Amino acid sequence: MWILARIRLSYGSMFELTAEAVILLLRLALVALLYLFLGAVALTAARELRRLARPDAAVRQTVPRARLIVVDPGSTSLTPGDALPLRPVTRLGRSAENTIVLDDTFVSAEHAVIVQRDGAWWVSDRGSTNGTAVNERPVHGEVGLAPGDVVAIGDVRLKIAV
Amino acid sequence: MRPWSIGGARPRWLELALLACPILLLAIGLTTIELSSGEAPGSSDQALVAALASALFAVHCWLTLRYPHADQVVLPTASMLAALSMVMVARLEPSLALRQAMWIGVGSVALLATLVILPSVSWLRQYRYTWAALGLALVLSTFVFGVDPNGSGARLWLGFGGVYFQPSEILKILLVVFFAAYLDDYRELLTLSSVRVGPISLPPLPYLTPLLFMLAIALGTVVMQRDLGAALLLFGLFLAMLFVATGRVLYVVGSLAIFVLGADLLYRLFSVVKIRVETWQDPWATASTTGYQLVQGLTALAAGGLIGAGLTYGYPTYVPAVHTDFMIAAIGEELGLAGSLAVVGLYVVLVHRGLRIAMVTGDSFATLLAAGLTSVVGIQALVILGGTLKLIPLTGVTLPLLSYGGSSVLANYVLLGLLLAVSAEPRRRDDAA
Repeated sequence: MWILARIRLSYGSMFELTAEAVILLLRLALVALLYLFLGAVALTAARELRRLARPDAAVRQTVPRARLIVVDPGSTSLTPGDALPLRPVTRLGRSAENTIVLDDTFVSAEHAVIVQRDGAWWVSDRGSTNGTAVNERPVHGEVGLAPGDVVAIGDVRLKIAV
Repeated sequence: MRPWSIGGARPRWLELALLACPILLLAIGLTTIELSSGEAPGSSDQALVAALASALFAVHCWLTLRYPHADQVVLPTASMLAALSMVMVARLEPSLALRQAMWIGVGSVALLATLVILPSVSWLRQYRYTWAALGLALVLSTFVFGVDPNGSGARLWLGFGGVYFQPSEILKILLVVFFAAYLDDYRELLTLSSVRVGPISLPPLPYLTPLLFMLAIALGTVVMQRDLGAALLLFGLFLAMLFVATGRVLYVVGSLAIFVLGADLLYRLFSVVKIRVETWQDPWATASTTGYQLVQGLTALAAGGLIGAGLTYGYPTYVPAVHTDFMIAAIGEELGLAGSLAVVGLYVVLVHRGLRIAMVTGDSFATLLAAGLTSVVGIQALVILGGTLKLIPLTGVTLPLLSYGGSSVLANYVLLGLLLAVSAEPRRRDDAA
């Protein structure tokens, strides 16, 4: 393309060369701009992913680590006073796929989930048969948790401690 | 409250920086077109660039003030496509350039209006059956009042006062909202329970019936109107949302089986389907009749090569509907493979952001809504790009945000508004708590 512009120089007028060269530059700039944008977006996405990949650092900064203290183990093999650490997403239930497995008769396979978002903890029921309660009040939707709150899952009672 | 937040507002530097790109793109594109036509850049170009810049800045300011946590990449990416759309329409159909710019302006207003009017994302959920009824009423009304202003052989438009509107564009958004609300209500039932027939366990059909009924009516009407692209889009959308809601492969396999049967039935029933498939298999056999558009499109793409002929240096206007459905052929010819891959990249970015929004939002209805809206954009782009490239039989849908056309632009901006609202939602709820 540059060669074409050169050839134009020997035959055409000065104006023609500049116009052609400018158009060529603009053409390249147009496509370059598209890729510049995509590059910037890709960098952003990569940065976000990296931030997500180091959740510990972010968690430590914003929230103190929280634990669940067993108050009443129900018919599970836990003992009162046991401390179970909370993850950013902690699933509770009877099936082995849960973060915290509670093999109590009144606990459903996938019973409840506790998530951490923006420095706070939230519990929600996952459609369990016997429901979930916080401080003996049934959970509908998502309920915020504060230190000292007691979560009831089946016969199991767990207290939030920081 | 963070120390640098003033009354809930928070600077959105990333968005502001990225928004410079579409404005620059429009300026470069329009200048190139003017220069190569031998004229000096006119004042109308400057007015267009200024109009786009002020529209984008207005939306940006509103987001900063009211939705500081909304996704910061969606608006710039959509604006890149909008700017490219203005450039390409100005190049292909100069007489429509102002109209397209106007539609993008109206679209931006619609985006803002969606954000302003929408009280919360869950409000949409409450009126699920209203949306479903509205969508059906719109599509059915084309049977009675439908007009065909473009002479394309399908009465898909509604006209009032010289403005034509394509209801199927709005139908897709209304259906996403309805599907999301319905699937969220019955997600557990659909995921966990099943009806056992001998050794096979079937999905709980009674709970699927309203959904299938809705889908059948929507598909039936668009198919009756020969709007095959819309039918393909709606079916793909249904499949994507069902899978997102339940995660059951059984549904996908079953739906694909239904799709194959349905496609075969349509192939037998409608000559138009048969023609499309035959054209797809060998467009060159009918290069001067039914295969004309496809052949011209492929020729244009081939002529473009790696970096293209340059804006105004190709001959894309030989391709029928090049400023609407076949936009990628013009981009391929004049901006080359580099340009068309960048366009695909922009759609990938939009889909990535949309799915990300769906994943990080705390609410299951919002997740389904965002995933559905994203699927609409992604599937629609796939259907028409695949059709243009002769990868799948060609069915006419617009290239989202890029094609010329008022209803398409408007619907896509409302869609973006909803997506941005979802992305702002979890934070807003926490701030209130």
